[in-house]
Amino acid sequence: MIVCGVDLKSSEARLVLVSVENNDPHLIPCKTKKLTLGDDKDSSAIKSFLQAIKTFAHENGVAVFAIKARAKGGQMGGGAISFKIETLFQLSDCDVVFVNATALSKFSKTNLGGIPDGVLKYQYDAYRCGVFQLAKAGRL
Amino acid sequence: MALDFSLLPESIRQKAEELTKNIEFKLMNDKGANGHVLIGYNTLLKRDVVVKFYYWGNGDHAEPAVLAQLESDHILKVYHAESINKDDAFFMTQYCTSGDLDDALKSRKFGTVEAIDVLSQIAGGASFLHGNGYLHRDLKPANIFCLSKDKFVIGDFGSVVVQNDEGYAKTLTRHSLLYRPPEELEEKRSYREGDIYQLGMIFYQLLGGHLPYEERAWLSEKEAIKYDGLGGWEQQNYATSIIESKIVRDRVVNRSTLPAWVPAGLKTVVRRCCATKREDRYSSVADLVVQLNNLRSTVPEWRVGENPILHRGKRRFRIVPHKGSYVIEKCIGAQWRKDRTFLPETLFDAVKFAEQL
Repeated sequence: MIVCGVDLKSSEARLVLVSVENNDPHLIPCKTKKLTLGDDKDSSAIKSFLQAIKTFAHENGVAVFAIKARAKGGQMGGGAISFKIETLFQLSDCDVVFVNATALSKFSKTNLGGIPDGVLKYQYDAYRCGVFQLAKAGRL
Repeated sequence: MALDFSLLPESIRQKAEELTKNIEFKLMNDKGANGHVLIGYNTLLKRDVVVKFYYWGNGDHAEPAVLAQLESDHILKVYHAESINKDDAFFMTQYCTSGDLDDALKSRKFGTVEAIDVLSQIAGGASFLHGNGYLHRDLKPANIFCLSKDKFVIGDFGSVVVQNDEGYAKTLTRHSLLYRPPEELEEKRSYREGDIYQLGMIFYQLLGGHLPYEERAWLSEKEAIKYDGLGGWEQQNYATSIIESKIVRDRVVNRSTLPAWVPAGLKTVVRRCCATKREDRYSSVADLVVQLNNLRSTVPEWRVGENPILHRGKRRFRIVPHKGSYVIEKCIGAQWRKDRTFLPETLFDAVKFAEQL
């Protein structure tokens, strides 16, 4: 089972592919680390982004996208464009689950939440989302 | 008037005649060199269809039944596919009245963002094939069909092969010479990166790069004299060996022929796709599609008609030749007015200045 952890920041999605190897989380090397939505008012840009998600998911055999959830309002609320991006993931014919930010923060303090070599700093939360989902699915 | 099947080989003639029960064949298309193509009206489906007979070599190419199961937005729907004997098979697809990408490239020029969008669609189809364990091996404008002005799909499956667990296919069957990746010439193997190489060549052509189809155009003056002195197969073999050596030495794609408005980022995409060593190319089509998507918003949108026009939001700037140099005009209302801030002498300068406005 390959899970793609997703962390949405501004108009970009940070991606990390994880699977299970010998009962441990395994980072799948992937050159694609970021996916950017250009002009959110341009429908061609939206279609291009959706196409990129579908292609990425299909070719890499992604079973589920695990997206770090963001508050819909308040000071710590996510940006409007990031919610649009979230919808595009949901339209990608691939399963999508949301990982609560508080649960993720707690998970980061466990052994499974440790970050292996090869994960870039801006991908930390995306990686944890992926591993969190694997653990939740009982694969770890 | 019924079509004369006498030009078809004996092995497939019988099948073609059988198909006339439901298809009124109107035309035999000799554009595809890699098989026989018949166009006709299917009385059951009530639409025009294309029937392509191809060599499948009893497993060397993808099984016909599998082709009929391929369903993607970027792949032409195969209505029916069937093997005729251990060598030949056929598949039936929708007939695209708008023609192929080659026709589109002859009739109009593609802008920068438009080229990205078209390539993303084709790459989406190629990625779908890769994800299902196949390699296309013959991606070229003649095999990309136009469903509408801005919708393109992959439409020829005569060269599709199954990739093994190590991600390659060993096959001796060949396809279009000009688009043949270097490793296929040297190792006689097809890799996923081979399709990426061909996608790069299509992108190069979409952006306006020069790629002549006549074999003679690839020869130097001296080689052309020798070529003219030869005949038949000898002549073709001679040209083939020269083109093959150019492919191996990365002399087919000449990025300096790309128009001035093609930005460095897109030239880099072409260079990475068409790298001689397959390890230097994008590792997957998905990586290429993501890269194109990420670049899309940063690329200045040039549309090319009679003159190149830069579209920036609601603003428009165009470059017009003027007394041996160029002038930049700004669109105000419905009129074009000269902008005298810059007086570019070359097209490259004009593009640079227009992008600064």
